[in-house]
Amino acid sequence: MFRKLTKLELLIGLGSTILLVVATIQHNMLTCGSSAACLCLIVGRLLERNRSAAATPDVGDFASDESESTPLPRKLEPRQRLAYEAATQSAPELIRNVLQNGRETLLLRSEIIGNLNEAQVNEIVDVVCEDMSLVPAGKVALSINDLAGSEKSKMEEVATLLVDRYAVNNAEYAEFVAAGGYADQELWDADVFDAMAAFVDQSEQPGPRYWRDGTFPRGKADHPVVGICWYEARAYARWVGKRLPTGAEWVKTAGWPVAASGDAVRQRTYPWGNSYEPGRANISQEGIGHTATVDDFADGDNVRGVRQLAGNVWEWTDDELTFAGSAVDSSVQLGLKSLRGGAFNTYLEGQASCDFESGDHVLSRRDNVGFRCAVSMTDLSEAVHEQLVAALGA
Amino acid sequence: MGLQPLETYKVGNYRLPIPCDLCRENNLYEAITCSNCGAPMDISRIEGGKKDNRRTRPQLIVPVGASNTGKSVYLGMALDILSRQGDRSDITTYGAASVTVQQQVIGALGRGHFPEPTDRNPFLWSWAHCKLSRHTAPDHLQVFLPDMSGWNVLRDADDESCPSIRGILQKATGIMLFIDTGRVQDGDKDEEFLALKILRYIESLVEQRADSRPARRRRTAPPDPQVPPVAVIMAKADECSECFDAPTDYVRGQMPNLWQALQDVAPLHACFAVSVAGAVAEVPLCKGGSTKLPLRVEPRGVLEPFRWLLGQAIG
Repeated sequence: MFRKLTKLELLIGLGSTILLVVATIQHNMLTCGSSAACLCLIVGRLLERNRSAAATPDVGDFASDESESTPLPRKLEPRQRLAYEAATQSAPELIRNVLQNGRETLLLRSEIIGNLNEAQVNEIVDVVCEDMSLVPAGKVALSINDLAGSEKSKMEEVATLLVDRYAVNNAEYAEFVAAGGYADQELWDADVFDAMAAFVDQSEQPGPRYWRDGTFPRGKADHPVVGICWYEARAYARWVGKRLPTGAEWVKTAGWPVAASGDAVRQRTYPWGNSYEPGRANISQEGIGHTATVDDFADGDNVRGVRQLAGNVWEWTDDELTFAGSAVDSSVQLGLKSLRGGAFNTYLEGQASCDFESGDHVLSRRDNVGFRCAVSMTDLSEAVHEQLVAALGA
Repeated sequence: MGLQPLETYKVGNYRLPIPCDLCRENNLYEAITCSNCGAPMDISRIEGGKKDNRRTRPQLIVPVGASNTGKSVYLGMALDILSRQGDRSDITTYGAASVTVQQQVIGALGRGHFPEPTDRNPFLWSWAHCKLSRHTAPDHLQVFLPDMSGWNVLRDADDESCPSIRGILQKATGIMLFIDTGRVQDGDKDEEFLALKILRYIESLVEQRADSRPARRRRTAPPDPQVPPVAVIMAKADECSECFDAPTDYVRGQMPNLWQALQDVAPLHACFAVSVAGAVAEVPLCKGGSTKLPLRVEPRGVLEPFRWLLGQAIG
């Protein structure tokens, strides 16, 4: 399939051609040479692009040898779309575009990674290691919300995963909004389509609740994005090729359980240890009264440098919030989703602990609720597993 | 050998009863609470200047409202916030009874529950006691806040069967009128009418008290009796951002009858939005019915009505 020039390239090419003709007539050798060089550059890019497209393996239904231009199939998940882009763009261009949007883990998927060379894979792995932390597989103890008030807990098994070091911030979320995330139905759960009209900002544009005119408040680029419901968090996670962590994954990241005797585990009450300590988390006691930047409170990191698992903003997880019934041992589902971690206005320190679970309605868009993303190791190509484990520790 | 003073005059003190400042019943000198209405005798002692020898009129700020409007939770939360501030605040909590209120509320919230409804027995009511330091005066302003049952208040409004309530409301120097914002948002008009009933009841008590005073010779007519300053507290406002943005407009728009009554009856009033729980879940129970649970504690706007009322008291 012949790859066409972009509009900018066409403009430059046309301008260079005209300039070359004029310079030739006027015997202006300097201008002649410059215009010719420009033209050669444009032609060279065109040839290279078409050479890459011809060398790319078939990615299924997305590329066709039978027509000159294949329209982008409409119903694509992000990684499928990226596979299509991998077939149609040059690798450096693809990497550049994807890394700009913080969607680097998409490039490490098995559908995409075949388009990249070793150097490019190493570059992407470096970025992933910078942005994410590895949580090893293992057991985690979770408290059960019991209406009878008894202190019960259960053990769950967690597979190896990568978790964002920081909560998603406004600048990152703005990329999603600018890319048309709110209009892309493939990113959204079908049962929320009717409610999406309410996912607007203060000026009625699609976006988080406390934004205005499609952008975040001034000076808040590196603050956690808030005013987003559970569905919005999920849509963003899909867009970047990740997902929301489960409650067990979140607690494992924060509490970092280690094996004790038998099947038991010992895990931390707070990401830094077993006692609350002022200055390690942005909760009510700190007196700040609003969100801090996502990289603040470094002293509150977990053992592997994941920040603000306690305080600043509550974080959506993928779990339902349930309560064990009192008369009969059954779970009662309420249409609430689980929140973890506490926020800047959390009054009781214990509610910012690793194990405390709050919740809210799926459509709730509060000023103290944000999220971070995760990705299972099994969702990434096996070719990079060893590299990631070596870089991030197991 | 030196002579020891014979302080027989002190024996006399023990034989003099102290009348309760709220219900006027006589009590023993050493009584902690009134044997008739259960109010702390500290109020009477401070009023009479007998405890600290300071003539500082104690302020009685009375939280009132229908049952389950959040009075106890508000009180416990306010006391906890003040006690955490300690010397950094001009208001300090005082006495074991205040700690009891704090403990009951914060303990329950910490366990993921709301506290049990306030008992209907006035003798089991908790009385919070605070002190307000004033830069312009050498002594503290003593403030008492009873945690009363809303059921008792409404019952007394109907049939005057709870004298304790009448004594407390007649002596109130400030009123906190609680309204459940959630129910108002759900369109429950009863919330407005219950609040209106309480307001009108307070008005009638104030007039009764004024009428019962002995007539004095004056050149000018005595001033009309006035309902004390009223802080209208839209409680449980965590789901109502409009209420937090403009509580006065919210009250005027959602409860026009109450609003009009406030203009008529309480010239000094202000509206506030308050929440203690950041979110609440209504959980159906296996045995039937449901229960409301606080999902997290995120107090907002708690001290503002308290400070406003104290500001009105200081003048």
